[in-house]
Amino acid sequence: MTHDEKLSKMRSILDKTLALSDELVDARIIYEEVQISKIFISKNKDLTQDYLWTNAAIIPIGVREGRMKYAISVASGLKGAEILDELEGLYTPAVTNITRLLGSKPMKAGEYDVILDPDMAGLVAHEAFGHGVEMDMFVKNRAKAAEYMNKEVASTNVNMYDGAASAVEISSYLFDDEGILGTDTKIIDKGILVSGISDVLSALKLGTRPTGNGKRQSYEHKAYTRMTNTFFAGGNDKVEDMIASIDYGFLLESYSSGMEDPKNWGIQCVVSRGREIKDGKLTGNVFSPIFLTGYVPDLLKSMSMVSEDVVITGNGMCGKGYKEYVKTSTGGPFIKARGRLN
Amino acid sequence: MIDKIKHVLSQIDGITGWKINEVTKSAEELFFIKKKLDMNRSKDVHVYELTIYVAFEENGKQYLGASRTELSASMSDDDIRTILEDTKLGASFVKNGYYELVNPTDENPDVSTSSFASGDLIDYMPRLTKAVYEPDQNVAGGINSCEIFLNKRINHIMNSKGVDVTYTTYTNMVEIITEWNDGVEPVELYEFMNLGDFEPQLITEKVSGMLEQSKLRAHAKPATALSNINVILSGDAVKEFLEYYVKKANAQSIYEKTSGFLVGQKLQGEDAQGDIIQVELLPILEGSSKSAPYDADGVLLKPITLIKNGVLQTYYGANQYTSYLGVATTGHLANARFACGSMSYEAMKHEPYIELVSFSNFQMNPLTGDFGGEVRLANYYDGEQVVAVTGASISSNIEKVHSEMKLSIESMKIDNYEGPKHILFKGLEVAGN
Repeated sequence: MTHDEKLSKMRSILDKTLALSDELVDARIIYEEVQISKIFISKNKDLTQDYLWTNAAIIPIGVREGRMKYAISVASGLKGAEILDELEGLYTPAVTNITRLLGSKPMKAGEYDVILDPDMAGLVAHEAFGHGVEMDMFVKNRAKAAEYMNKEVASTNVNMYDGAASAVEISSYLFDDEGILGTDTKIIDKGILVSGISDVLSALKLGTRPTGNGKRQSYEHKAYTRMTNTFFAGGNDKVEDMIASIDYGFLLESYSSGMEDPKNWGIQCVVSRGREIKDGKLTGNVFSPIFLTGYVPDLLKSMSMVSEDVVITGNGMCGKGYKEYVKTSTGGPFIKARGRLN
Repeated sequence: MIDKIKHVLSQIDGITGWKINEVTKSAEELFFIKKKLDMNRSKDVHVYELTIYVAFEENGKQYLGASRTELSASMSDDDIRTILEDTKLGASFVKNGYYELVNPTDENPDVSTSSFASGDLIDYMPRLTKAVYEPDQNVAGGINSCEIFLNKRINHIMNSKGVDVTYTTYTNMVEIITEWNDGVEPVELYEFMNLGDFEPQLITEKVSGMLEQSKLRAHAKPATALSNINVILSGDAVKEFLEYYVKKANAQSIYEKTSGFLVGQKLQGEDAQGDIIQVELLPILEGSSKSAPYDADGVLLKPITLIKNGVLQTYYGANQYTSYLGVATTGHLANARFACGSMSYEAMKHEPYIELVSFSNFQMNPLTGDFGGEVRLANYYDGEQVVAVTGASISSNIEKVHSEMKLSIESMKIDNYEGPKHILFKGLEVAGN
């Protein structure tokens, strides 16, 4: 596809997005295409890899009575310009989400039954037991997870993975920034914490095997243990059954940020919107802003229903604390849990 | 190398203008676990950030496309030519409205002087280490780990209109994790500091405060839900909250309609009862890592009054966007000085309150005005006693609080911010267990 064709497609999506609502003050159509070429040579290794990843997003921005809201719909993968075709199916829902957000109500603080959509499930996986099992934190004695290896940390419905070889997404690769082949690491097996993820130096210090998770922001930065594709596995439940099972609660959709607390297992997820569920049905009411906070094991142990299909995307950046930004992907199925919202 | 880049630029047809930022970076880095040095690194990086501008017309409208690339000193003429041709092609697709690039000026800039300039970076590393570890004298807790970075950056900015300026900035980044172990379970706190000057006292005070807070967190009780409670915001969260006004006044936000701020508007409403916002933007702020005489386009920066008596005085920002708005070229000013308020910290604590001391990550969304976060440590006063609590969270919107908020008389300085140390919000809801 030529540059002109890509731009033409993006402009067409922009025009169609803006035409859907008079309340939109702007919409942003983003397409990012990155070619990675890496060589790793050492005494025992001679590795090379070339691959392409792409990101695409639609971000409509709307205003109603002076109140501004935005929504993000994304697509990503080890793909090329065909990802722009996926945006064709996203602009209408994106504008629907903006319309809902512009009419949203403030959340009343409390503990509720919630359903996490795949984006939110991915964020919880990432913040709860992604950062929580980065084994450079084990070396520093910063990770509570080290005390919980082979112990119950979640409900038996929960299976969680991380690995460059665990999924085909934006953080999939043959070898990491330290020349270690990417692996498929099962972190939580039926609620039991079974493994962490590791860079080379941490593995040397801990006497474990590196898992291909050594990544650096750029050639200027040192490598740390970092996540790759982090996600909850699918289960056997249906989303409609989850909604039907809730007397009063919220379907939590999409997010803007999250923060880890590996030592004390707190969690903070900034949720884009919560769709109200009453008597087993979506009411049409939407709430925002919402912060999902609490104690990680409480949240994970409350996971009672898990849907079948897993969706993984990789449009954001992951920092370690407030620096060292790298690409990661996250995802999961829909998951019913109990969470504290504010 | 610059002559080589200019030579290749002159040989490629269709380039309207260019900007080169020659960046020379050097850095020293120390990585500690407990008190032991785990790793040290040094780096020297020399790169050329090049922007190519291409003017074109379509359907009677003038555009100035721009595309950026990065070149390294080892590249050959052929390498440079290939990259510049691609960059020019990229610029030709970008339909930015036309604007004039920055012209040179003979005016003298404000100059900042960092004490890091008076010696080699590496000589400061033991002194910075001492500043971090000086308070680490406790048995029950201490520094879990720490990363110290000292960066020097020489910016040499040139453009096709004759701008040719050079300035140097220093950034001392310190990531500190403290822990405390004599409570129900071990706890930690995390802080990240940016400093533009050698300020060992500030670092030592920060670590001392973190150790004290870690001890409090170790013995803190789980927070309970509170309604209609006065909330005191302190420290970094105050900076994050107040910078909303600066971000909303940026010309790019105005042009892109992600801000509805209007010059002459009373930003806190017509009948604001609380303290009124006043902000100056400054090229140079003592101790700020963002102090610079010029912005990234080479615009000479001068102080401006952004908000006076709560009224927006002007927009500010990068040359491209102030040009689009038809307002004065201010350049991008990165330091803000907020006026302090009318209420002392002690007066804020006369009625029952919860002071939010440490967050997981306090968030202020500059587009929506939504703010909040999970609280790792707070002090709750119920009218009788002050109790340390953990695990609370808040969520609100600036439009709901800023007409009645009170700013502290006490001031603080955090990197590129100078202003109130505390903010009091009346009658908020706080989530808890």
